Amino acid sequence: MSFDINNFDDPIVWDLICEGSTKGVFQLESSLGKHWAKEVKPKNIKELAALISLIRPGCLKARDADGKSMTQVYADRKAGKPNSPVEYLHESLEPILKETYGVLVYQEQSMMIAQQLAGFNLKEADALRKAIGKKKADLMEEVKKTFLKGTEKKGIITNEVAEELFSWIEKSNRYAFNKSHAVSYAINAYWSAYCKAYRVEKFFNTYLNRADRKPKPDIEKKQLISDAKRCGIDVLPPRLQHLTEDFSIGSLDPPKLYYGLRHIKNVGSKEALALDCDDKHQFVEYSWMDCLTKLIHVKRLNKRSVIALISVGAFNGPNNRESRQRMLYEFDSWKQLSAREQQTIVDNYADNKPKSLSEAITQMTKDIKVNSRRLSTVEDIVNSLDNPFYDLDDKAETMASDEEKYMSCALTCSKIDGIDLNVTTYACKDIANGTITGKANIAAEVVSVRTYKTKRGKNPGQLMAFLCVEDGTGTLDSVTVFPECYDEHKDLLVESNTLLIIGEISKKDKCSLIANQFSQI
Amino acid sequence: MNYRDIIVFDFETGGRNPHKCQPTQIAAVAIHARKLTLQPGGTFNSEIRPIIDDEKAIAAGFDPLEDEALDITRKTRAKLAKAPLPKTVWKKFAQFCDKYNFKKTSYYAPIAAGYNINGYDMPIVERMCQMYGPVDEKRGRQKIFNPIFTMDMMQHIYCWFENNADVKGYSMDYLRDYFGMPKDNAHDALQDVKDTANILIKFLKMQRNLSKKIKFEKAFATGEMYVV
Repeated sequence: MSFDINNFDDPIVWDLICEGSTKGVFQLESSLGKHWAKEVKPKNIKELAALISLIRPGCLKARDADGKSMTQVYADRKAGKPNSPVEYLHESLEPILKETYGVLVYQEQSMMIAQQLAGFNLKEADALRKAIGKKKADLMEEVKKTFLKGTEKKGIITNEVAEELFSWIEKSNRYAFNKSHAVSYAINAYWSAYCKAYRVEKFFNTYLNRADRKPKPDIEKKQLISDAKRCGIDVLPPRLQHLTEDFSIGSLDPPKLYYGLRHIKNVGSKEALALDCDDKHQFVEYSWMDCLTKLIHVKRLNKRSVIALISVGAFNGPNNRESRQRMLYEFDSWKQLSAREQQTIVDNYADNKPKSLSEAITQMTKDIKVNSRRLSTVEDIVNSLDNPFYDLDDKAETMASDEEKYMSCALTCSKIDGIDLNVTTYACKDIANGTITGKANIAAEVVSVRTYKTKRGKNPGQLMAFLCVEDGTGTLDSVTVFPECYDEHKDLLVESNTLLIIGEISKKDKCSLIANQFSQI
Repeated sequence: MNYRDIIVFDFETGGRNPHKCQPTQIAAVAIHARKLTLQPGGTFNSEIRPIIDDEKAIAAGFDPLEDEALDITRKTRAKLAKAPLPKTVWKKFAQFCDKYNFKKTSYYAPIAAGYNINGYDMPIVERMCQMYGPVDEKRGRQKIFNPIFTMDMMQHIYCWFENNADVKGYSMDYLRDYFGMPKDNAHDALQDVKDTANILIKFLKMQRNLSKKIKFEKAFATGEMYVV
């Protein structure tokens, strides 16, 4: 990758940030970061630094006289909304606050105000910053006196304005951020966005391999994979044709990533390395019996890891189309055999070439002497293999649920796949991409439900909810459920439930669905 | 709460004492917790080979097979002698139930349901788990079903009908008559679990509707108590 380290003018990078496609982008990867990136639409490092400063908790909590957060005030003023004109307490503040649309974002700005309007030297200005930051009343009183004395001496503003200005600085500094810090963050954010824009597959590969270091690795992996899908990068589940220890980049046209074995729950590095070995190209041709005898037995894979690997389809390949349920069932039977019986099957496998485990066990009873008591158990195992006690076909819902359990997300299919989708009009991806308007019916699985008590509206204090839902096409993290609808359907709004959601696209945010009705599917 | 699937199950046995009888059949159906429908492919059914010889059964600590019990369940000793061994069946039953434990922890394990399971079938489950696993080592108890909740339809039905003079009994046979269910395969474990599952689903659907309308929240806030 070649780039000019001092050039921050790439329009593709800024478009990516303005679209809120900032999962993995330094400082902007939370849903808050994505939301405000879309609202504020920064187009240069200065604006990006302001955005990073504005999405800190203090700024989001601080309210202006109309009850709007300072972040919202900044966004509205930047967008030139008619009801949010850029105003200054005094015209002399304009040169200092112009770049942040009259909002005091940085601590450096209050220091400059004190220098220019109250004649503070740098040391005094820093004392002002510290006094406000530490909220020490006695120190504050002292600094205030010096500030008022200074403004009187300078004579640029009146005493009343000076009093008001000081109290404004005091309030603002509860959330103001250090500008030098913000700019260095912004530069890092720009370059991580640059990597995402120009080396998308490498970007996701690197982030996925580091997801385990995050506080909630499962959620991190799920979000990254969903975002990768949205960016056109398919993440493929492990299969015999591509067993890799870590996430790795597969074919580039169209770009694909392979899910790393080490990242599957219950699969350790030892097991992952045993499968990601030099002779792994041979595995492509393996049947289920080959896997059982040559991989699981010979490589001494532990039971928990084998169950996880079967459950995500890691032993499936061009020559192994057995259902995962059948493989799990047979593996359980295999574990019921003694070590000697297993070894005999493995030793004679090349000669006997049994097509099924049942055939292999039957052959084994001929190859070695099994005592009559044990023979009865072994025959029983064979019978249970020939006449299973339950249906061993794979169902989309079970596969998806198992993959979620072991890989944090379903990659082969989604729970929705097994459902008749005649009544749906769109998929999650259509809405998340912001390409549609009007009414929309989607079938999706509920990923998470966040409830929220309303503060305004007809009846403040009522519960409403924001849902994150997903289907096979991707994730939609902004389904709004207003109080009336929430009250009627709250029993359906539970994690992992599959629902038909009838609603309409929000007029404010085209990537958001306002739900009117839910039904169980 | 209702994200845990429900497994309605039933044993047919060769005796009456749940602590010593020998199971001769087990059947189960898995019910989707939210949809209250049969899970696709969610049916388990197998006969179980008991110890046929009475003396050997007693020596192994079991009650011998009772003819009356075999008649009721329409089983013969000859047929049962060819059934799969208890260990084989139990391992597969545990695997079947585990399919419906969506996070593979005991907290998310499916809820055991059935007719008179608290009094009869659950002690057998405990016994089978102690013999063949899986056992929750900390609690020393079965690890197939949810450790806290069970849905015993017999208890449920008693609570609903205890003041209904029309209902004269609580046996499954009597209830089949009362609910108008066919009795053709009664005492076949699979038919019994299907019938129980149907009754359970009917009750749960009704309760889900009622619970929206009848709210118990702060029901005693006025201070009006029945027992003071």
